[in-house]
Amino acid sequence: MMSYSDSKINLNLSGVVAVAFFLMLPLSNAVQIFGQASAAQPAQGKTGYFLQSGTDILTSTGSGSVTTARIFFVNGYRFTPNTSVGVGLGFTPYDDPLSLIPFFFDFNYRFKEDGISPFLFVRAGYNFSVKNDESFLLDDHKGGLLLHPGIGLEFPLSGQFDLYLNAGYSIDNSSYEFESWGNRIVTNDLSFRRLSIGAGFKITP
Amino acid sequence: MPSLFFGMMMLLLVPLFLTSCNDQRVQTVTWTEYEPVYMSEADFMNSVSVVPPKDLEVPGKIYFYEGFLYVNERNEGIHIIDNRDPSNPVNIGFITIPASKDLAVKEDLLYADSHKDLLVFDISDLQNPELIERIEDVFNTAANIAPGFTSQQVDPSQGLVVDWKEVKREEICEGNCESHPQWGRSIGTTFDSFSGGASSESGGGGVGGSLARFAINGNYLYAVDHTDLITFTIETNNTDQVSQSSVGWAIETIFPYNDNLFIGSERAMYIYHLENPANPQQLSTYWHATACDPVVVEGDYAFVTLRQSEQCPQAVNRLEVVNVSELTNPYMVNSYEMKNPHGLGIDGGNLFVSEGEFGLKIMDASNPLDIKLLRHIEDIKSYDVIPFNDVLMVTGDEGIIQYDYSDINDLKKLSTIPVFGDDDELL
Repeated sequence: MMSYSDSKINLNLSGVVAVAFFLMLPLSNAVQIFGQASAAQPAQGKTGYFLQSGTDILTSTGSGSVTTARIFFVNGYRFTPNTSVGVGLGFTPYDDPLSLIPFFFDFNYRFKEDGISPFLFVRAGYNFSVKNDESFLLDDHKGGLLLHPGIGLEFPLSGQFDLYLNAGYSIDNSSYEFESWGNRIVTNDLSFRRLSIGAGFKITP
Repeated sequence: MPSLFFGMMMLLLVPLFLTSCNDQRVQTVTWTEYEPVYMSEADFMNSVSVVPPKDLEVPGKIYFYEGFLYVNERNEGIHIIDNRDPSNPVNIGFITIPASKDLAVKEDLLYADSHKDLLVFDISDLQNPELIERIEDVFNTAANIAPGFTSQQVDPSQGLVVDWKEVKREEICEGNCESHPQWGRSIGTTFDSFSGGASSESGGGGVGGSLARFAINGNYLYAVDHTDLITFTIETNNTDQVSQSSVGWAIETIFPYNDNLFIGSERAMYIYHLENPANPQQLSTYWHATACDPVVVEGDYAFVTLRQSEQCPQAVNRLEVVNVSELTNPYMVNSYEMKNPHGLGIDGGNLFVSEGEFGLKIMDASNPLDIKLLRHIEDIKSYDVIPFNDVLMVTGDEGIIQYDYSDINDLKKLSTIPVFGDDDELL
């Protein structure tokens, strides 16, 4: 019924994950991660570079919204034992009909310098859009702003590893456009407003 | 410092947690549609008049007869242009005719439609044309059909529909918009602008076009609306309807040739014989892909352009050559890919094809099985052509451009009758 034409690239999930992983993983640290993961240096109370990886479950209280999960990696730097800033890249499969590739800055504040510590975080950036349904032809699509604040609890595991759990509120914006019958131009502006529950780990080489 | 950061974070977090956790979808639907322009019946009947010459704004079909060019101003009336010197055309007058789109001329009489009526003007004095006859209710529904998409229903209580106005609409909804406008697809090129051309020179009448809906042959005027072929006798000063027959659906054009009528529709070309001119009889049907498709004929071949447009969105763009030596058995002998062909005309094997925004093509069709492109004029927009007596009249966004094609390899521009309307309306 609709006559649409796609104008953007389409990426599959596995490809995006692979690309994101290798983009975010400095080669020099990869050796340390896989080869010296159990080194005895305590991760907490330190400053310096860290690598974070995690998953956020994004759920909505509204009817008809499908729960999804965002995976991401963050390259960050801890300026003080309490504060850190990082740059992140991930993938969020919304299937509506776009999936999003978030590129964001991560701001983190720990309440304690050592041991188990609560923390606050804010991620803010831009979602790039990719079409994930070939049968849905679009004239145009684009991403939008990302904002994800929350709170969490960080657990030191061993040496360079920290595990964390968090909860927050995530806003992902995107839009797409297609032509429908009667030469109608239909523009959908989407704002995914979700509660998030996340988990992940940090590696501090 | 840490307490400041903490405070800022809390300020940011608290209002966010108070907002909704429902996904939000705002759908904006924009579209262009047509809405009817009404006129009361009393005003309609009294609105025919002759006024001083005025600029062309939204020209429609053109008709050439004995040195004069008659240009329909879509739904407004007819310009009369003295074109006896094609290098210096002179606009001499305008006849106001509401809801008028088609015309034909023979001798001192000009025939024009007006809503459902056929009007006859005495033009023996071109400075002072006179309405001498109105034949009411001979064309069905034509004026009530929008030239494009519409969600508007015609309301007869508001009067007669004399025009359709293009308007832009926007609907903004939370979630998906449910109140979709209804599909109001137009019928072919009924209201296409600039649809003269293609030199339908007919017995006794002037030169109409490949997209014309009026044609004169002998003492008969043939007119098609979107379903029917209507025949009028114009033998005497009295114009009478003598027959009406159903042809098909989405009828677009009529082209008289050698006592036959070639009628174009979105799906087919119908061939009628005029053995009994008062009651044309169908001989055959040539089916083709759905498209906007004017037709012209020369010799044993018909030339049909198929065009994709808003009216025909799924169509193809090509020129089909149909052998009509046996009128009861037309068949395609070749086809040529085109860009967006509109009207066309042929004269002595010289084929002129308007390619819309892609310009004008001059082709050698002396061998219809192997048509060759002679020249492609790309710097003009052209919608239709009338080649007649070595003068090519081309309608386009700039206006009506005239060329001397006595040397087909060396077209000379003679003049331009300018258009002062909105370019977008020309299509």
